[in-house]
Amino acid sequence: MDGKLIDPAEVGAHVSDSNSFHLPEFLGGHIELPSIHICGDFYLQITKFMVIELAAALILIALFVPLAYKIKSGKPVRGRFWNLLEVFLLYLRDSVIYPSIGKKNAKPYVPFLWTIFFFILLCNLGGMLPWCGSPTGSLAVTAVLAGVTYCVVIGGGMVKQGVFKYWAHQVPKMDLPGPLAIFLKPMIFAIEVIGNLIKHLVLAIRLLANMFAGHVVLAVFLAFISGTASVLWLWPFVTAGSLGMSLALSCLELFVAFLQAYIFTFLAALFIGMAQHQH
Amino acid sequence: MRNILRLTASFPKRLTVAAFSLVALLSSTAVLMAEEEAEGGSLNPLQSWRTDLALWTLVVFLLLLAVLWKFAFGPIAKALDSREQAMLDKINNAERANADAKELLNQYQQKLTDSEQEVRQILADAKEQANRISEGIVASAKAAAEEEHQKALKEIAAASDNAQAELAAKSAELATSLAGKILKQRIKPEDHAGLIQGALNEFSKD
Repeated sequence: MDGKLIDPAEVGAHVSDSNSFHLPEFLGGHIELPSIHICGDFYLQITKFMVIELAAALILIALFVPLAYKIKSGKPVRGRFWNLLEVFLLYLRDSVIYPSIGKKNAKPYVPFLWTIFFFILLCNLGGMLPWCGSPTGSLAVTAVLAGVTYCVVIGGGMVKQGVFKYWAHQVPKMDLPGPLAIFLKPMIFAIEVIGNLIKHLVLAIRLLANMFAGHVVLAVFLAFISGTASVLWLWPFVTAGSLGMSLALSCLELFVAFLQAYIFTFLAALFIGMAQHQH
Repeated sequence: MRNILRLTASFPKRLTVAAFSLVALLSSTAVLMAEEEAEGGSLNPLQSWRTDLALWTLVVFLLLLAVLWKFAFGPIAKALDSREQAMLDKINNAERANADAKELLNQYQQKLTDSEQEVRQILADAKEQANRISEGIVASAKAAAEEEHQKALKEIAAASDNAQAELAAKSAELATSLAGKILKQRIKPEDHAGLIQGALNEFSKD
């Protein structure tokens, strides 16, 4: 420990992506993930987050495809679990998506927003599983999700309003005298377009920061235990405190996992709704 | 420790946890970043961009979206809509059926009231008719009896007239014969008849 309380590398290993799974010995110990040869000089190094994302996707398919078959007949589903899933779907549709976009326009976006909510939720919850992690604690993941959302937002706007009109409507209607309009309108257009981009970037950063920070805090609290292991009289107190705080923070993280998935979906729905109508 | 717990208990919990997290985060990231700079690597999430992870995420997400859209969320959205529609239809049907039933009930009640009225009318008519008939029967019976009575009276009167006439004739004859006997054959039979006729005339005058 060379005099330091916390080893940052140790903390970082728990929250960031890595090329291996670090499991206890009885589960196989350290598992290096393979590097797959794509073509020529290109190799794809499989990482922990990639595996977790894939698992999340497979779990979602395994959950919702059977639900679709059960629900197909139009009759209510039977069983607590399936009803629970349906409650999620109905809540998102009726309380998040429809009010944000408007029932008439929302229909084509419902499957996308459902997918984004559950994918983010499972990625967030990955951080609550031992030896796994939250892919949403990585900018690459949240940026892609926000980017896809951005494409859906402007794509939806252009489909709804027409390509030219959508971009023209970025500038709000103002009674400006001619010369001033020539000068101001391009600036306002740029501000609006950049503002829209920033909103989506913030979507990515918000999710990333929440997930990353939560797990860093958890890791730090646990790192206190090893950090104080050399000080015998301090160690028991620190351990008890750390464990207590970790437990409390884990509960909070569980809540945050749902909350952030909800916020991302809610904001995405709001942005889609805003793009459907002119200013 | 207890003091700290007591202190924190008085704050709103979420706020406390958030404050704690913030302090811990700031301190830990400060430590981490100092370390990173020393090592040259980066644990700052904003600096640890991985294009391969981004591409992988894009592919996984789009594939997931396609699969779920086709096999799960598309059909589910459709099924939920159709279920909603079916429920609305059922509610509407039920309301319509209820209204129909009420209407029918009203109709039947109206019919019942009408027929009750009708029955009452029929009964009243029948009673009146019966009364009328019975009165007619009584009246005709009375008339017949009266007629019979008058006839009987007339017959009695005729009989009594006959009897009186016969009696008068007989008594006149007798008186005449007695008078004849008294006058001792002085009156002839022709005078006899004239006398009788005269007596009869006088008799009928009375």
